[in-house]
Amino acid sequence: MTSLKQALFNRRRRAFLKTVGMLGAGLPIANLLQPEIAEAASAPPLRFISIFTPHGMVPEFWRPQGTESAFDINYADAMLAPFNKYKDKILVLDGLDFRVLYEYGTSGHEGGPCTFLTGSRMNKATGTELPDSLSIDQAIAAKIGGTTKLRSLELLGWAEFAGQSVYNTISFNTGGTRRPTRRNPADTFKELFPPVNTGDPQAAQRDLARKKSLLDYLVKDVTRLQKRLSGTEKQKLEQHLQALRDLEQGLVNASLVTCDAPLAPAPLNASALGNITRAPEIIKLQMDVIAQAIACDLTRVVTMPLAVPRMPWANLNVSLHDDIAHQIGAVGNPVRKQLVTVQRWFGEQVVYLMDRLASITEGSGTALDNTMILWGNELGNPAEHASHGVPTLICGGTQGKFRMGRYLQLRPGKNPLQGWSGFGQKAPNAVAHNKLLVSIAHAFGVEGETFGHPDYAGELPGLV
Amino acid sequence: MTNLAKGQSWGRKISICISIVVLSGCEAFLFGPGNGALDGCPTGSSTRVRRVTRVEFDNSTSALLGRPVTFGADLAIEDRVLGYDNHDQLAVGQLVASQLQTAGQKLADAALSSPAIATCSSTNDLDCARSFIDTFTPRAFRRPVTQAEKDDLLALYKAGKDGSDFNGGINLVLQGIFQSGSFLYKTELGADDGRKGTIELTQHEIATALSYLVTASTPDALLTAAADRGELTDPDVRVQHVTRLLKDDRARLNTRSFVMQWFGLNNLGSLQKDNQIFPDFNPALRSALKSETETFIDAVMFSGDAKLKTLLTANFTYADNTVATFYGLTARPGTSFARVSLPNERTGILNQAALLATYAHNDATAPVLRGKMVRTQVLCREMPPPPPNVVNTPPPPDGVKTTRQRLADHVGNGSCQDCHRLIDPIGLGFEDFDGLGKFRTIENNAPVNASGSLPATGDTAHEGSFTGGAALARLVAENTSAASCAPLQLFRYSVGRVENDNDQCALDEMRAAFDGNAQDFRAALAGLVHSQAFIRREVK
Repeated sequence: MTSLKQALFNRRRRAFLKTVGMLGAGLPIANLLQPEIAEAASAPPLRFISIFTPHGMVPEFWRPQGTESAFDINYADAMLAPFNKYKDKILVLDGLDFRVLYEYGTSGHEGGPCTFLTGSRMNKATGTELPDSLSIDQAIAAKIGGTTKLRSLELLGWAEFAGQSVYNTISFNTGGTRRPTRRNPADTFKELFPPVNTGDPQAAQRDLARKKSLLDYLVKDVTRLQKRLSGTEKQKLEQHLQALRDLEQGLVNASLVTCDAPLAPAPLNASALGNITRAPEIIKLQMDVIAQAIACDLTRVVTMPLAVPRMPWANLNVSLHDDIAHQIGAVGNPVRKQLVTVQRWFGEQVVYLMDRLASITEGSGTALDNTMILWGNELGNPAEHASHGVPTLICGGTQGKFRMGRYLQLRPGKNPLQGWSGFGQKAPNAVAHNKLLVSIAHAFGVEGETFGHPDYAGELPGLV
Repeated sequence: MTNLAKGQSWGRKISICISIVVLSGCEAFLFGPGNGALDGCPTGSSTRVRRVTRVEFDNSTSALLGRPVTFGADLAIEDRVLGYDNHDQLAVGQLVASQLQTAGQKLADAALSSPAIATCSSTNDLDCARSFIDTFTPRAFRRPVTQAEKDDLLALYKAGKDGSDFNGGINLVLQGIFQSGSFLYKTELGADDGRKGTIELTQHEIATALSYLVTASTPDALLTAAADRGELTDPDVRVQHVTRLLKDDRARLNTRSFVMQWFGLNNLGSLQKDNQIFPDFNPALRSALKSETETFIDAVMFSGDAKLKTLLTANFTYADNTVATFYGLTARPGTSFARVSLPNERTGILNQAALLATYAHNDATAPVLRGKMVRTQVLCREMPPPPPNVVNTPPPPDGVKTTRQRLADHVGNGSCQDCHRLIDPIGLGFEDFDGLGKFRTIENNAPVNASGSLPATGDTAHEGSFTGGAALARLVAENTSAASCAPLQLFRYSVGRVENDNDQCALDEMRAAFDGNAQDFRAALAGLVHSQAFIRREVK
């Protein structure tokens, strides 16, 4: 089998020659000869995917048993059992806290989606619950996403609260505004794999030139307006300009990569998307779309929050929030095993994505080897109703950036609240998840000693 | 948020009440402390641009094309700030920019399908293109257009025409216009003259602000003409236009949108209930209850007296047979919605099933959610955050205890009491309505106890004990915090951001107009546009 490296190079070269021939003097060819592209053709890129699921864990069923390198996740009722076949491709992080939330007064779990990837406190000053700064996926996308069709891809696995909830967003722009998400995998597929113009090459060239003229006009118009603004208003339009530049770059990038479009999924209407019994099928489609986008190198950065109100397919036809997370009780309460069912099902979705990525050959390995998946949650033990010991997994090969196949107990001691006197107070012995974000940033070449809130500096030790 | 949310009075007190009567048609709004002096009223707004919402996109493009189009509905759903979707944080990111490409193509195709908004019978197509650009662009951009902007659009025309025809050129121009920043952002910048400090909006910016405020759409010909003539600095002229536009059918939908968002009723379409516990629940009932509330809001706020008291305590609603049967009424209005009288136990929007079912669990009532909604959204009273180490685990329904008994833990428990004493007693007063909003006297074989209390509202004369959701609604309707909160909610919806200290002047004028006109929302809106703050911005 030809390696992906070679295949990519061939594809790109073929497409490049075609494009150059087609465009004549139409496009600035110098733009097509960027060093990133040559580099990208020589080695598979490292991708970042983050999946967020809610409701926390109970430690007796979530924690691996054993030691750092010899651990068991296949004991009875283990929440992480679905990952047993990928034990060498996971890193279990136990004892990570969203310190920035509780140290800055946020109780409960609604700050989780806001801080998960941003490391920011939840800012309510503007009348809504937003972070102060951008999320790690956006920092990574700014660094590595420029040569793909989409700098980053934001999906929404399922809209638990009809599209209007803090749980539906984990990706934030500079300044902390929410990035909208794509809810319909069939539509996302169409966006990623638009119909290919197989007809008249001259018509295709004119079409491309028209699109470029249009984008040039839009950039000019928005720039004129942007010049009159300052502060956050200027930033708002800078975001618009970046989007337009990305669309422009996307025209070029898309013409460089020709990838056989997979079979398109059937269209999904609003009623299908709101039908809870179809959730498992639709969520699988979301994972398929992610894998296909990665396989064709249409994006290298993906985020997806995934919450469902009930799981009738798993005999949990009750509210996961009201009837399970809020009823969790003490060790021995049978409801705790229902949370095992919930988190196992979520875990199975992540494993399905890993399966899909593992089926894509890249060089001597697979796309899974070249991917870092961050699977997170908003809550630790739901009984505490706070973000202590948030269950966190890194999955995939990460191109060896992190040493995988381990279970890290980040915080020795059993009581996560030890030494902590309440919301708004410091918990000096706790491990802030900001450190993980710094480590991830460094793995992708994003520099800086802090990510998000400046209180928590440095990498998370022991990952590399 | 600032203390404005509590409706406390602020430094500037006006003891001499100058009444301004603005007449328009048969209506008159009385203004209390109107402030004609240009330097008297600060503004809490900085210069900014506001992206149109999906609804505003559709309304504006429909007005421009002269036919209804709904391509904006395919754009990404807005997030909400303070419960409202039309805030000034809306932006155009990668996803929306890409969705706008599709919407722009569809709009351009629609505009050029028969009857096309541009045709050319001249041999010189460039003249036709120039003429189209000259007339269409100022309407789309809601302002005069510079020569440089026209030249850019003509260049776009030429690019579109290359290898195509006149329509191909205009098509690309239209795609450009509908995706442009000039169309997508309503500017609040004033003249482009580099001035700092407090500036005034341009006439066309005022026209735009007035038009979107009332109709969520682009200015009509009368408003544009008033801007051309420079009339909109005059507060009375602004009020005249608002009064006129409030009769437009788009004002009905926009006002409805405000009330639905204020009471958090946006997700009625996807409301779910446990059928085992609520056998009445089905999609037809859900849809009927949504229509009831929408029809009621339209009837009160658009065709009716637009008074807060009517909204909160109307002894009527609008029902079809489905709603009438569900409410246990004897009236049978048929398949369309008609006005029906309500029994004494149900009154106003707070007692409508759409609201009661929204603020409930899928298998039970939720006194906490109902109480919090009344306290924060209707009275604008803020909640202290929960204390540390809360075990937030209300016991599940066991079929034996009443909801009140199950929640006794909340109020009984010391650490939980700080918050819950402020909300639970309000919500428990709604216990005569079940989790779907049906009136009940029995729960789990025990008589319903719907005694409640409205505590710590800042108005001791209109708080304290009551029994039942209807009595609560009547108490709230008399409460001064509600009277102070309603104009604030309208303000938030109107200006698209959280209030700050410098908004006090405008809020005073809104509240004075509201109170001086028997709590009429239209008067509050008139008060807002009458305020000098409405046309001023701070350059930062």
